[in-house]
Amino acid sequence: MERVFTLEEWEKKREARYEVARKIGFVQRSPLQHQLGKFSVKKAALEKLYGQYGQPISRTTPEA
Amino acid sequence: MVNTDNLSHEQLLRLEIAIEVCAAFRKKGFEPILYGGATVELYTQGLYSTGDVGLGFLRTAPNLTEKNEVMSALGCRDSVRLFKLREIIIDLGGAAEFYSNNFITITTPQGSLRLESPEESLARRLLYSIYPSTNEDQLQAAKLLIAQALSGNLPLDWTEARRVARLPGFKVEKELLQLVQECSQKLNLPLSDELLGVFS
Repeated sequence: MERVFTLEEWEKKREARYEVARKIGFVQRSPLQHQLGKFSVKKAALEKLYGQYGQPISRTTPEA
Repeated sequence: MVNTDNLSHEQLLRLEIAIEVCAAFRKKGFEPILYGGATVELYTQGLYSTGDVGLGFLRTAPNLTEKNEVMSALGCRDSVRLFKLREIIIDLGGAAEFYSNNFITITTPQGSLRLESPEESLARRLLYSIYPSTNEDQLQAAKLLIAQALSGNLPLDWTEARRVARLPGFKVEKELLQLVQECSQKLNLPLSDELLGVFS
């Protein structure tokens, strides 16, 4: 189900959205923080697959 | 004190640029979708700002040459992924995996912009709020999405939201229900029968 709005219709609710956000609490993140957030998710996923040093995790690998 | 006038101006500029870029790619047969933080910003008005325009492509993505042809025609320098158009960063991803096709489209006389569905946007914020570690910003963004939907400021299909939240890639149904209850109490908005039915 796709929903279509004109920009005018969308913008009509801007103030109402702002009021709700004020009640619930704002979020403010810089673009850089956002990018770091993205990479931390990617890093965690990659570490899960390949281990901390980029090598596949093997049960036979001796403990350091 | 946040200057919301400036914020509105900047958001509208990004929207305008996103529409221009989308129109250029559509002419070449591609279907760009605004996704990620950029959609959360538009959906919530909660000062969640990424400052850029993040676009992924439905089904087929343009290759590097095609991307650069389109973007250079708009006046950008060649790049791999990040382009700058009138001081706005455009992050052009590849073919994106969308779990919900409930896109929202905003139309203007200059063209239209398709946005990642609010249901998927919500499931992603819920996931990022707990994985790989707890993240308060993402949790707040999820609360904002829910609060806007409960208040009637964001069209959100709760049945679809629950379906996406239950998918193996997300598994955030429990968190969704908790936050819906929390936001409903905070806004003093009792849950509708329809919503109670969805979560029963």
